[in-house]
Amino acid sequence: MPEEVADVITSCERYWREAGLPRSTVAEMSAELDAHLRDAASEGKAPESVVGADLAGFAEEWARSQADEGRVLPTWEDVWARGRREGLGIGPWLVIAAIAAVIVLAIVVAPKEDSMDDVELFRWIWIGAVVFLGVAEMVTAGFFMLPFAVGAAAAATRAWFDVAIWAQFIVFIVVSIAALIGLQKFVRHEDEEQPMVGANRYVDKRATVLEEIDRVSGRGRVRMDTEDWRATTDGDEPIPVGAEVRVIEVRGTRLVVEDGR
Amino acid sequence: MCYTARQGSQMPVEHSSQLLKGVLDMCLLAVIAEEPSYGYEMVRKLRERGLALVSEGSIYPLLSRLQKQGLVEGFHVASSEGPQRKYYRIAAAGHQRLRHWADEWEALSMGVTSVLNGGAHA
Repeated sequence: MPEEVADVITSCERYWREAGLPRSTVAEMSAELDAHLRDAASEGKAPESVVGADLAGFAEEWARSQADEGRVLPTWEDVWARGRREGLGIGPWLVIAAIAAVIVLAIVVAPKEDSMDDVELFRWIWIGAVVFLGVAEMVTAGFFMLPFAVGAAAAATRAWFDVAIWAQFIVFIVVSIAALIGLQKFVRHEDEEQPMVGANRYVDKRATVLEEIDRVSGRGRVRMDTEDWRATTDGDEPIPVGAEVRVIEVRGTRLVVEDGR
Repeated sequence: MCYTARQGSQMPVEHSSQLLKGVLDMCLLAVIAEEPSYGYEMVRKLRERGLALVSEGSIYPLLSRLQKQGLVEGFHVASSEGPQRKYYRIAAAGHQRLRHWADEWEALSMGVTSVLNGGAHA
């Protein structure tokens, strides 16, 4: 229970801050919510009984009531998407297109054979690019530069092996694109894991019966990890104290379990 | 004390909670008028009197608005178990508004009852 309460609090706090509510207001709301969640927990109630099934809606509505009249707040979605969309989007692709154009130009216009000096020079150019992009990456804290730093590093290795300059550029482009795509995949995965008070996370978890579970009389308590929950079962047989059970569903504030023995 | 959702036997939970939404701010104001209270306690008092909330946190946007409108005041009380609690007490304007809302409710519920009884006056 403490873990999930903490998750709910930090998610709401982050949203309220990003929505532009004053720090003192956010602190007050957070403390109020925390106290309520703790009181609920002490009576065996899950956070859902307080924040409802739609945590985003709850946080948004409370924020709207605190904000000045008529002010439009970002949505919960907006706030979570914001953190990762920085630096991605069309920008990097434009850079690649520009570089590709430069390459085509270089191949067409440049002399047929690269002198050894040129190739050596490019070793340092690529290394310089890696350093520059790496620093820029850390400073901007977006993911904009990272794929290109990776691409530049790959090109640098080719340069050390005295590969032709045009080939170095090709490596730079290809690796940068691959890194960008890989990064997008990584980012999208995080995007889907929004902090939510989801009931599904309990399915298939084990629990121990504290009070005999009897569907007919409506009694039943279990302990799951460190949390105590009201419990019920869909079967006709009561489940005795001490039995190991498996969670199959969360219904309201009760766990629906089945005998796991 | 167990937390159970009380439902009118004929009504699905959704419908009755929709009804409650319309009067919840008035009910909160009434609870606060009785004596200063904090969120969890208000929910408990409502439940004791037969008004169960599906989502307890829904009171907070309402309390926030009541406070903004100057109908209630928030104040903090040190708690022995941990951080301070935020309490709400009714303001003078709140007493006035509650009387007004209560009158509105009287009129409305009489009208509804009358309609349900086919126009016969209660």
